[in-house]
Amino acid sequence: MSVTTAQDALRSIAGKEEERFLSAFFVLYKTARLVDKDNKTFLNQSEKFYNTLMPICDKFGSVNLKNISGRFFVNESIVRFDGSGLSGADSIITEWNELGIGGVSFNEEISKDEAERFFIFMAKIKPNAENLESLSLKLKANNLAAVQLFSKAADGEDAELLTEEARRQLRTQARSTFFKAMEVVQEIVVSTKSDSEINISKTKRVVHSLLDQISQDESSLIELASIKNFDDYTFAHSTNVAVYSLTIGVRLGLDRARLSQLGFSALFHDIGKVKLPTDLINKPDAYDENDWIQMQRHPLLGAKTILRNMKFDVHTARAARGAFEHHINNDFTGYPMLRLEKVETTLFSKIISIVDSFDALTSGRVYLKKSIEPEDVIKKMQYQMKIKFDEFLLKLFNDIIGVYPVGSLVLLTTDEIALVLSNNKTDKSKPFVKIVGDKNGIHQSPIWFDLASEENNDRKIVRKIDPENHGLDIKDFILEV
Amino acid sequence: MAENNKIQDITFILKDLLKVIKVVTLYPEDNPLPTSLRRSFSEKLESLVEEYGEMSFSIAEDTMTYEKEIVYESKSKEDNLAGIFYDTGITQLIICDGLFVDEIYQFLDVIKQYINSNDKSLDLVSLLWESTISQIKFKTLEDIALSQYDDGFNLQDFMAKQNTDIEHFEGQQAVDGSADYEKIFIPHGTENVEETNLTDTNVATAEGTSLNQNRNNSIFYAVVPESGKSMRMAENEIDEVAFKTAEAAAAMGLDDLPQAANSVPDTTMILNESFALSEEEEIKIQDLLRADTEFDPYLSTALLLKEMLHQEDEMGMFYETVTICEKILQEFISHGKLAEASIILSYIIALEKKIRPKQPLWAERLKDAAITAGSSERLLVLSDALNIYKEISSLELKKYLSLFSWEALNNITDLLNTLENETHKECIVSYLAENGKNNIDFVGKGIFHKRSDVVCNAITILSKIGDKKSLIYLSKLVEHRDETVRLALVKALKDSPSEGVLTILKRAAFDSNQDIRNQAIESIVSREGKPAFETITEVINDNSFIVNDQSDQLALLKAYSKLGGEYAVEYLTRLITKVNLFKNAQIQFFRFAAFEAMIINKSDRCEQELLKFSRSIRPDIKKQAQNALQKRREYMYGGETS
Repeated sequence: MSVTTAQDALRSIAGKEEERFLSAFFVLYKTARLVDKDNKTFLNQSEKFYNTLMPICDKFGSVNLKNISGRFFVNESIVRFDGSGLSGADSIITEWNELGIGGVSFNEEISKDEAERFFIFMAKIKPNAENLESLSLKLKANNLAAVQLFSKAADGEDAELLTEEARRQLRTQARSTFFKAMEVVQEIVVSTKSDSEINISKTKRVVHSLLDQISQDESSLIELASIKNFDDYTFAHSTNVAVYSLTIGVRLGLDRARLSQLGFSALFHDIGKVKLPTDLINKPDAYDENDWIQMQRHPLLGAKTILRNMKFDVHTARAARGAFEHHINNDFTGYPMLRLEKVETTLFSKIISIVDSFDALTSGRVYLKKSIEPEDVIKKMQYQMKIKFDEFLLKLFNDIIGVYPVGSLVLLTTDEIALVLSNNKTDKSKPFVKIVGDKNGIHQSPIWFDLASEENNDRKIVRKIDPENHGLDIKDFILEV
Repeated sequence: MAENNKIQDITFILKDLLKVIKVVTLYPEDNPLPTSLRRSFSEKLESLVEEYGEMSFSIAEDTMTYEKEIVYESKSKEDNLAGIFYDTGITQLIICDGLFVDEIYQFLDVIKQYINSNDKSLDLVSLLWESTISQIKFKTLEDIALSQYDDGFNLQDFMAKQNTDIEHFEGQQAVDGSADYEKIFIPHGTENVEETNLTDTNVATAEGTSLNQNRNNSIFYAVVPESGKSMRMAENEIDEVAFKTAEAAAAMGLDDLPQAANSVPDTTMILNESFALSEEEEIKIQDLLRADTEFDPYLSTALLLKEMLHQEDEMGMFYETVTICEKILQEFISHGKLAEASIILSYIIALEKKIRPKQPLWAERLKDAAITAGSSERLLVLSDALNIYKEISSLELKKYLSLFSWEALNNITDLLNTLENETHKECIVSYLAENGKNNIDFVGKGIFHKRSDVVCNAITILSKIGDKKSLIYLSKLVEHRDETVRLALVKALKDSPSEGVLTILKRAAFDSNQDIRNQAIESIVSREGKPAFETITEVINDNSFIVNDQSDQLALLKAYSKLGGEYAVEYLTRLITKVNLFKNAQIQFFRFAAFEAMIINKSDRCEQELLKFSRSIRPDIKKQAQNALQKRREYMYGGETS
């Protein structure tokens, strides 16, 4: 039996059969830890697991269950989780990561007894005392020949190759979530303007949707966040900041409750601007000194709005702090100037500060009327504004943005124009792209390519293209699913 | 048949679920009833899931449907399981295979938190989402809305707002952008520099090579160090980037940046290793995360509000901030966070004093806020919180109360009407006793309350204060209609050192209730000095003295003898010598009591009178006198005698 690598097949979204298999796998994995092998519950769950395993084995000869960056693949099909499903897998992901296990494969010759023995075996291992090699040897010694553990692929080696259809589905879903979030931001703004009650539950739920989406496919949302020419950019900006912040939060391994608070804080970080005169926000010319004095009040106005218009809870406490501190730099420069005590800004404020600066500078819509390219912003943030931000969080953010930020338009050595869809973890210069056009014009049906794949050796990025300079609107490429 | 059983089992388990929800939300956690009910329900549900597998319920306003069968129905507003979920937008509840007891417990805890919360903004869906329950899933209206999101419609709708064309890109090119579009493919070396956009130049390829070798020769093409070439930008580009960034940076509070470097030192940016965090950096991140776990929303907001009070330079805006402080203060109180509320209130008070000389109007607003915090309306919130959060310590409560001045005394006294917890009541009483001395009228008003427990609390406070004015209030209660109040009065005054209480105790010594009389007399006789003696004398001389218990009469006579010394001897002698021809029991008792009382009388006159009686011709008097004389000597020279 050979273990399939990512390059063996394009990945699609798994069907119900695979979903049921994975669910039964988690349940039995957990049950084996809680009860004895003769326990009725264990035997029942084992029966259910075996019944979900065999139909897939019959079809494909084996079942390969793989964990890649916290996502589970069954025979190269990504199994989609809803929000609650993921938490059940958390402990397995942690344990496998500690042991260096990337996945497990069951071949068609596996008996029910052997499957049961495998789960009992896994339940007894002590992550600190074992590793993949020792476990593999022990599996053999225990006559567990039909089960094989395999290692975690090196970062990037096992890039996530999804079929076009799978990507399309994820992107459609991401788009719905993103626009829904923008709608909610719009509602927040309307409520704040009229000083009426802000619907906190709705906001929390939309943050949860964003998080569920990021857990499944971070780059689809980042791609949408790269659209900078929405008319009502205020709504888009807040949504973008939420998307980027949550992406950092997920990378940091924050728990669900804290992620929810982070997303909530990010959505509200600029709420103070709603209290500024509309003329000031929409002023087409550059701001004069007075304008800036007013503009620099928005963090304080934001904190006030949140604390005044919302019921106090941990979400609002976080959001108020985030709104107040998101322009206070690491070295206490920025605004508002602290007049009482120099209290270090919170983790969330540090994250929002980085992300807000990035999105504001790249949009050309928030503080100045010209946009700056993402890579320029990143460079400046990295080298000239280093002391202003938390350098470690900034580095983490750079890793998310990459060399060719998601949503960038690039020219390839094949004279094709491509849209960057996601970064390659190992080689930032070889992202996953969608070819949208060439010398002959824009393609009706874009094609997806992984530039890191050997098959695509002839396709390399020559340079980034500024769409505006060439009469292109990136929004069209991104929104086209 | 089997299918019928299944439906029946599911129907029963849902009824049980409602029952267990009601019990766990009503009873405290340490109560055995919810504990056992929760356990038995969870075990039942676990085995049901094991038997039938995943169960998915469609939820409507007052029904729950399983496989097209209505398995739960209730029109009641209070007892509606479906309603709990439906009201929050949950339309489908799925209990998955592999559900274990611990997750059912968590599920019940979340529902309890949701139902028991006073916070209307608390969202069951969010709480479930944030919990780690994996085998109970749900679908909400939002999920349906998202899955049915009409991309076409929304996209058009969205684009309509932009006033931009949503025509296919191809068309757009053909009309207005073909020339620009073609420029994409023009080798850079041949382009007009002015038209060159920064973006098109300053990002390197990792490979550093291109199909078009001309590109490598251009200064606009940066390459990574691996390929041995440096990455440089044209001078004009550096300036432009530097200018644009500096302008934006200043706007964002990121000014004072170092000068832009001539050559952009960002080649490392595309070295893939530079993206990975080093071990040391990972540790720093972990430190940040650890620090964040200590985030306390209350403390954080209290500190934030302190800072915000210093942020406004305009009075109207400052007033607004104070109003926000007042709102948050109330919310902290309602959440039982008195320590953090104290931080806000004490700062308001301190700031008021600090700014008064220079900003009297601003200070006035702060003073107003501090006084309002002690208003009856605000203290009612405190009372509710104290009744919910019984764990709030006396120390915390006292610290918070200490921030109020006399204006709040009246309302703090009223707290005693609504508090349920004895520890909190005691704390308030002790606070009022300490702080109410100069405002007896506030703290004393409780004696007029119709509720006896409130009157009793007022008694405790007034008796602790114990001054003349408080005794005037207390004296009004000697004839209170409720015996418990009168008893509380004598008990409260029992240890009061004030002489003034004797008047009250004297009246209580003739109360119709025996317990009250006993307590009053016990208190009177335990005192020393002339006032006590005079009181005892008055009691003894009162016509009602006879109605007292003999034990009380004895105690009073003994106290009268002890305190009166030789002045008491005459009266006692009279009691002894009173003729009792008909063997009247009362007279007999008084004689006995008088002898007993003389045992503890240390005066010489007493000794002499006893000696006289010991030589009496009346044998009963003689015998009693000799006994008394012996006991008296033991008492005086050989130790105590009872």
